[in-house]
This record gives sequence, structure tokens and C-alpha cells, in this order.
Amino acid sequence: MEDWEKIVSAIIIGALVIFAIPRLKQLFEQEKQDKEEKDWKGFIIPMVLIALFVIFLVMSVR
Amino acid sequence: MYNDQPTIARPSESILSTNKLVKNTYILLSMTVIFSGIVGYFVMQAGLPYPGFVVYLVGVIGLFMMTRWLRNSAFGILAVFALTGFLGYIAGTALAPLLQVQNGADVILHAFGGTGVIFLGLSAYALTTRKNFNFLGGFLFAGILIILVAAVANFFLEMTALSLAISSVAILIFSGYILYDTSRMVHGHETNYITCTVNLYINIWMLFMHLVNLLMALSGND
Repeated sequence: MEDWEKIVSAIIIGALVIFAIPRLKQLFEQEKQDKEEKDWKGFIIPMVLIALFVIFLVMSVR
Repeated sequence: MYNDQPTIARPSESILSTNKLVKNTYILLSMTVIFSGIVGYFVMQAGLPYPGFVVYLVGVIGLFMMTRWLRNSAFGILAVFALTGFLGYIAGTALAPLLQVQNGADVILHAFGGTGVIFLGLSAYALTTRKNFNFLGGFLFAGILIILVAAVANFFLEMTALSLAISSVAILIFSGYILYDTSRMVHGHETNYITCTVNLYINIWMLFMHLVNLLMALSGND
């Protein structure tokens, strides 16, 4: 990537991140107000399985 | 044995509209995946050039915004095909050089199969258990922002280890987004099939590209 491309990309992504921060705050506030049970176990178990599956894929292409 | 938890009755209209949304989303998603695959194949065959990262970034952001604006009209479908065709073009130009490398085609096939298994597995999990993953929104969005900041840092640092770390985290974040977006669709938090299709397509595309990056580097062909 050329230097000018790096700088322009960094500016665009930086602007995108700044633009997205209010949305992030809104999502966390919604989450606080949400009374439903947060099933973290139901999220973490599939993520662990995916990590193991990716390790298996890496080993199979080596 | 009986379940003493209170049952929440859902009106049959709500169930029917959810089923219709899920059906429309998966039909449009399959069509867009096939379309972008065809675009990618022709780009690879024709040897068309990579347009550059700035064009990629502006194109993706612009077409993504266009799908949001047109989501309630028939033109929204055209916008979805424009976005997925553009991402197919980018994938074609990114994957073409890998085919010249020893083991490159094998890595692409593994990444393609792996993406399919992850997407189908997570979709089946979210659709059958009907768990509500709406609480993941802030966590996953924060993850995306961290990945973006790390990616910008890596434009200048150019560290392979950081690139692999970004891809590893991105695989988990976009897998989480598959659960989140499917759950939002099932629980009626998102009711527009164009939005659902675009969200799921981007998750699949990102998952595939980061899986290719990770497998390519760790297969010893970086």
C-alpha cells in the first residue's frame, strides 16, 4: 500500500470510528435497560468450538 | 416431568412474519453469495486489477449506506447485488495471487468449507435454540471498533503477528455477529430482509477473508 493510501485510509477509518462511538454508547445503554437474562454461556461455548475448529483447519492445511 | 417456567405465547401472525422474514433472507442471501462467487470467478479469470484500499473502503461504505437508504424499496435489492458484486470483485482480486502460490487453492477451499461449516452451524444453533443474543450488540460493536483501530495501526507497523491477531479476533467477532444477527431476525428486533441479508452477507464475507488470511499465513505460504 502506498503512503498516501495508508494516510487516507487511516483518516476514513478514524472518522468512521469517531462517528460510531455514539452508536456504541447507545448499544451499551440499551443493554443496561434490557431486563432479559444474558446467556453468556450460550455464546462462549460456540465461540470455543469455533476456535477449536479453526485450529483444526490450520492443522489440516499445514 | 413438566416445565414450570411461564410460557410466553406468540401470536400466530408474528410467527408467520418471522418465518417469512427468515425464508426471504436466506433466499436472497444464497442468491447474493452465488452472484458474488460468479463475479469473483470472472475477476480471477480475467485478471482484473485490485482497485486499491481507498476505493475498496469508499465503495463498501457507500454501497452499504445505499442498501440502508433503499431497504424499503425494490431498488434495495439492486443495491444489495451492487454491494455483494463489489465485494465479490474485491475477493476475486485478493484471491487471484494466492492461486499462484503452492497450496494456495487448498487454503482457499479450506477457508470456503470452514466458513460454510461455521455459518451453517451457528445459524442452526441460533434458529433451533431461539436464544436471545441481543445483549451482545455493544460487546461485538466494541470488538469491531478495536479491530478497525488495530488495522489502522498495522497499516504503518506492518507486523505479521498483529495481522494474524486481528484475523483471529475478527473470526470470533464475525462468528458472534452471525449469532447476533440471526437472533435479531428470529426475535423480531430486525424485520427488514434486505438489512438482514446485507448483515449476514458481510459477516460471511469477513469471516471467509480473515480465515483465508489466517490459513495462508499459518500454512507456511505467507
